[in-house]
Amino acid sequence: MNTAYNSLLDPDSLRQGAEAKLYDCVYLGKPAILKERFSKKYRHEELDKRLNFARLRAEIRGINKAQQVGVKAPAIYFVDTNRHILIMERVEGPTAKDWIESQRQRAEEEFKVQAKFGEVLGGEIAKIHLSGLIHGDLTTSNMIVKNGDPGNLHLIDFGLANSGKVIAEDKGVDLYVLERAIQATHINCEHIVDAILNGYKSVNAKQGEAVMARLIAIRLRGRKRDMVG
Amino acid sequence: MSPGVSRCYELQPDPYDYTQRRAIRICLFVDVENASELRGKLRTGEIDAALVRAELIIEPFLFLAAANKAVYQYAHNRMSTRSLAAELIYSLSPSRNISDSLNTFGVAENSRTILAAVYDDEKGSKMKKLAKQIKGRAVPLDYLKEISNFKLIRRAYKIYDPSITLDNIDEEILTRMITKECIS
Repeated sequence: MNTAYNSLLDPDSLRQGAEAKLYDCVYLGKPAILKERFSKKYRHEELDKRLNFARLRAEIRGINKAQQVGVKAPAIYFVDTNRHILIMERVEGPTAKDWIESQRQRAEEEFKVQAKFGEVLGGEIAKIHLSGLIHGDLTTSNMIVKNGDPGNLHLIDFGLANSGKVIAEDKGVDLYVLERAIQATHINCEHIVDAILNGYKSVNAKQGEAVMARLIAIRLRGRKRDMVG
Repeated sequence: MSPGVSRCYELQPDPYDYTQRRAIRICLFVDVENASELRGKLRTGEIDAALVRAELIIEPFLFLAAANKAVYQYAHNRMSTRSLAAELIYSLSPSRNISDSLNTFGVAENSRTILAAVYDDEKGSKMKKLAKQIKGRAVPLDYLKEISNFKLIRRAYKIYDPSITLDNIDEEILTRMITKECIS
């Protein structure tokens, strides 16, 4: 009669990045992802603790803010601040990186679909920027195309997100990092970058203009700012 | 109250630790007539259960997530309130103000629908005892979607962005209630 929902952890599903380990799990009956930021032994203990906590907080805040302005991000199911564990909704679908590469086979439609993807992505980035949130690590690996539908784009990994005092420079750098990431991972995809910028400008003209102006300057000098004067 | 109407769910205060297990039994009551009497009994401690305004719960999973958060806080000795039942109601709220949370999400004077929850009631005896005190009809949990009130939920969680609809509001609510201590 009664259904018992329980939580399961699948130990074979480990994926590890530089920052955290990811496991597939089931949380109270729903498919989920467990993200654990492990402590790094080579760092000073206190520094390690603070960095881990700061990034966990940044991630939580980033997801919160993004969802508040209607940008899709995985829902958070559980937080353990002591051990830096986050359990999040599992968004099914390929990463944008895999999705773009899989699109290559269909040469004819490719352009149209990818341009649409770019515009959606640009719009989402503009929305979070408008709310004063910088993602900090925009790459095509940090996005999931839910169920392969380019209109249903989820942003993930807000660990380096930054909010609060945000100027056009920061937004420009965010876009620049994405632009470089796309150039580095995908061949012949300049049209996607163009579509992203178009999508970005279409959300808010004023922000778009200011950021584009910065972006041109950033392209000339790179991500880091010259420290002169 | 017929058996099978209420449901028992397994909780795990620690997602890694399988040795710690707890359970929660949930039952939905409609056409409740004695809400204000129930409030009094809650206050005196005669009833040890969480009685929640069912209109504000959009799906059972949200409720379970809050319940699990409450047992987690309990297991780590970090409860903000004095009882597990109150902690559950507090966990449902996006606010860190305890009395606000209890007033908004706890049963109100004129409530007609109540979502009742008792901890560690695998056999269902506590729920049976509780049901005797509630003058109302127990219905299956599936009715929740007809009872939940989108407008009220929006107001309770202060979600006004037009792009958030019935389809994606649960994600937003979850994040808000689970992470309220971590932001600001």
